[in-house]
Amino acid sequence: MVLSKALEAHVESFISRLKRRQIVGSYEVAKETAIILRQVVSTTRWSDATVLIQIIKDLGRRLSAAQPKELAVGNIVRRVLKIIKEVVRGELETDDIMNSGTSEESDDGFSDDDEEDNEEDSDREFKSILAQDTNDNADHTNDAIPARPKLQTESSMFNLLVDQHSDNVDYSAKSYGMKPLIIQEINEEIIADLETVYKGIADQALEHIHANEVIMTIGYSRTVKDFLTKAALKRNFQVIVAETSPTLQGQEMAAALAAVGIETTVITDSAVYAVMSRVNKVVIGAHAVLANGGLVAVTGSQMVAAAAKHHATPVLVCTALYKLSPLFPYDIDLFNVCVTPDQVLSFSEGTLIDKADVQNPYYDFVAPEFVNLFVHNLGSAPPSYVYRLINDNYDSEDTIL
Amino acid sequence: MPSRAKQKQAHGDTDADQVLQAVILSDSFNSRFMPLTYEKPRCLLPVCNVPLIEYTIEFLAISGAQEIFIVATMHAEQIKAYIESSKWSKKNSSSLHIEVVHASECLSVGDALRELDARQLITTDFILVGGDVVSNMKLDKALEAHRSRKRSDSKYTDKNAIMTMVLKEGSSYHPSRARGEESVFVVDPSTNECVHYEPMEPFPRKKRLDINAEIFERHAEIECRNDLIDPLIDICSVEVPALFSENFDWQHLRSDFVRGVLTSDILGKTIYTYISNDSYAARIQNSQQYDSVSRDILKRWTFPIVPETNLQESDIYQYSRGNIYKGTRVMLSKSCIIEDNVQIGSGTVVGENSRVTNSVIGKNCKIGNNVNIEGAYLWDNVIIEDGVAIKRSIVANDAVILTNTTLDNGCIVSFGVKIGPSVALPKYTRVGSQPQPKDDYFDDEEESDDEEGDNAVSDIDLGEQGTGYIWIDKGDNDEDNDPRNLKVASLAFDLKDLSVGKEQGDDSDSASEIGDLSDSDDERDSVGDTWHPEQSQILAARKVEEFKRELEQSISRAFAEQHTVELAALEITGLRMSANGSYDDVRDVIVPAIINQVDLSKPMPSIRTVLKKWGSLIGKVTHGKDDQVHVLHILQVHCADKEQLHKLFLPALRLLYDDDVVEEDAIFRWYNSDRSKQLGPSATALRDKATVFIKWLQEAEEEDSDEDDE
Repeated sequence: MVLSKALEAHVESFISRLKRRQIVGSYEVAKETAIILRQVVSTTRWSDATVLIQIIKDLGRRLSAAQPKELAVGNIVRRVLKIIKEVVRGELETDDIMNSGTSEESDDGFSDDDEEDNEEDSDREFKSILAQDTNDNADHTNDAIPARPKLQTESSMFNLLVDQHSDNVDYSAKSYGMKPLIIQEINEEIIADLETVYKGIADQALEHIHANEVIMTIGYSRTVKDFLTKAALKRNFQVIVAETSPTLQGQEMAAALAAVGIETTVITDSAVYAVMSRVNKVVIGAHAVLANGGLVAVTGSQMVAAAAKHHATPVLVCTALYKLSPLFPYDIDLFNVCVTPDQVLSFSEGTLIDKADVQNPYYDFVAPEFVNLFVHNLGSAPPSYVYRLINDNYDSEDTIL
Repeated sequence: MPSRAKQKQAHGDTDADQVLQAVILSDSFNSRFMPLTYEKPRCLLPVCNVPLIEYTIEFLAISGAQEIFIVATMHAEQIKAYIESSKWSKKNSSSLHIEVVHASECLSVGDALRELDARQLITTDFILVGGDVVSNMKLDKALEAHRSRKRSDSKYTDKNAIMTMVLKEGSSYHPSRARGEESVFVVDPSTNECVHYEPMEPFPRKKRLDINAEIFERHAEIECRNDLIDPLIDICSVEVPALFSENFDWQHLRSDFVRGVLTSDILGKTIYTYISNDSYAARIQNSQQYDSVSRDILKRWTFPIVPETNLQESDIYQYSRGNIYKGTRVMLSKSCIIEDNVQIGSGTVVGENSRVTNSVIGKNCKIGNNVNIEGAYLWDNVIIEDGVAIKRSIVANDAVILTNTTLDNGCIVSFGVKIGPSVALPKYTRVGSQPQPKDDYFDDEEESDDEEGDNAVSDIDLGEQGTGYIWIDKGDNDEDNDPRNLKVASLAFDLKDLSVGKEQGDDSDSASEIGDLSDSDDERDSVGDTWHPEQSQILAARKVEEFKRELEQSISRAFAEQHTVELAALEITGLRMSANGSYDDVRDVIVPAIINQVDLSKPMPSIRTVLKKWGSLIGKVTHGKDDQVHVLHILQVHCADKEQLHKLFLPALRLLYDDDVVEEDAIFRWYNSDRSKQLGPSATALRDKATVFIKWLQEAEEEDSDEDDE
């Protein structure tokens, strides 16, 4: 591994925080991963793109091994890999653009000082892009999914890389110019995207929530909260929140919704089925969306979705694109996390805990057939369309890191 | 107030500068895990296939410790080597610095802390833990509570607070409590101050708790808590190691230090508790706790510290339903049954029709066909041949169990031992790879019945191809420890087997004690039934007896070595305070001892010289009239005891009066007291002899008062 010392320390601390679950929530994880990877691109020595890809892959493997259940890590790594490949491909066509952005071309190597300058540059760059991008994004949301630059088939792109590798000298000279562009793309495509996910999803609220509807939700999700809050600005509707035992996130959610003036009712989880007949729509958040359109969501979601299916109530899942994972759930327990049973049965029940087995799964797997629509930050799609979104976002070469 | 603001600012500055230090006492200073700890230090024994110390360091790292000192005594090289090769020292820019402090001379926690004090390594408040803590607790709240007591602006300021004990709420029969070492904490719920600490050994069973009445004057409300799990996580102030140096006889952290600080009026220090009820904390002190903590980890109470978090970077475990954890390259035969709460290390093979439940199996183990493993802990590279049955036992690295062998509850098989074929080890057998050393490492007082013991147990057959030596549990060196306390602490202990130790100790109500322990429902009724104050009195009497013996030795040394009275008095005070003895007991011992110094061949000059020198010592332990009367009673009884001492009584009385050790009033009171008349004929005779003296005194006094009148 050729990471600089400071970066290695950053990576180590991120890994230990992931392991200790001091950093939870896919948004925070995704953002930190993206920032680390951007630093890798800007501060590591790499002569050509294959080396960079290898470095990112190795790091990605380490990061996702630290907390395999936090799928956002792998997703961001895959996005970065895709961007690098895109840039390499795009570079061949548009040589001139690169030259404009490369000021340090005269330097024959990247000394540490240069790298730092470089990072500062990229930060400045990043800020200006951010300002620009928020405007862009507002435009985006109106016309559904924006057209991404179309690729040739993945395999051919990879061949392109391999071929280039053979005449190294020529290629590495060009890679100086690639660096700022990759950083710019990471800033623009990933980090700026992350900044605007909540807004992107919330902006579509009015299309889905109508006046006087009864909405049911479960758990605490910032995406869902923003979505409903936005809708409440214009429309009058009622929300029923399942309390989501044993974490009682639902109560927190209800408090947050009530605070913005939404008529909110809290029910116990066991009352979900009974209440479902009155509900017009179920809106839930997700921890991750898997390749088949199934989702990993807070415990109890499967029950809500199944009850909704029985009553033919539509189920909407609000999820950002970075939660989309190309992994397939071969085993429904694969992505679940069992946390301490303390909340279910107190540890002080000394003699009892020895005799009873207590389980406290944190997530549920909700099968794709229970979901009607995914609302993501760039539009909406049914579960059967998830594979397309995944193909658009990731390179199939990178599914297994 | 500007000054305070400034002070506060200064304080904040130092806080930021100071690194959080932590001290791990890696040694257990006992032999609970023998013979395993004979070859490997306890903190490197694997718990769920991870060395125990990894959990402790991880816990300290979570809590933000930046500098960790590991105090190592036994096997210090192994600990050092392990730390150097672990991930903690590999990190090039890690914020955590670990240093192994080699302290080969230490025999107790007290010694280790004195060593720390001598080396001056501690510069701030620090976290003190044993090398055996498993916890997912974040200490920041406890640390904040500890620090805020030192600040003058907080709600409960107490500058004398020197320690905060972090305790976990449990229940009195909780499996995570150390059996045989439970203790009661008396806490003021409003400030969390610990006002009294009482160790509660189940045998002999304590029926009462003596609390100093002063405590009730100072605290409006107190709680006696017998439901706390004590993981021995302490946040200590800088002074703590120094206090240990000052009090060189303190050995244990709880029974000496905490009790010493709480009962001492001179130190004027206070100790606080922090009671946590949401996170997990426990300590592995004995094999029973090894079992319960391992099971807690498998059942995920310690989340996020669970096997699939892979504390050691080389491990990769996967979790599946029913709390089954599998490493990489695990080969399970088609017909084998893996039931709940099982962890299997990488490279392990399990044969046909074998059954594994509630167990941890290490790396690269080979388990044959038709094997039954229940609640057992197999470490790395263990080979289990066909048809073996293992129940609730520990089998260490590289051990081989040959065909058709059975290990019953509570067996411990050490490194590289071979057992079988076709033998059955009885319950609680311990097999070491080396013969048991004759003098136990920690045993100062060698118990003489070693040989008998060896002969008694060595008839256990290890099989034709068996290699290894039977070890017997000699227990701790604490002379007043009931052997049954150790038995309950062993792995898979079944209370029905307690009869082994029944004849020892008090046999008054063992049966009902067993009932109490095994069935908590009975507890409420039986407390009322089995309240025996006499028993605790007997116990107290025994303690006093011991104290007196020590006192006698000390004073005879003082006579022999011609100590000054001051030195002797200091020594007596020290003894009295450490044993919590009373002045009455002290007088009971020293008065006869002094009289015995008189050379009987020439009584008169001799008693004069003796009392001239040592009379003041009696004076030093005599405060007030009642005490003086007491001295006279002792004198009377002692002199009456032996014929040749009779004649010493009057001169002694006279001399003591002259030295102002006893005053006239006291003499009158003694003379008139009923007790002095009822101590037997010879004592009464002595009293009568004193009548002349009394008369003389009375006359003198009358004269005095006459003069006063005029």
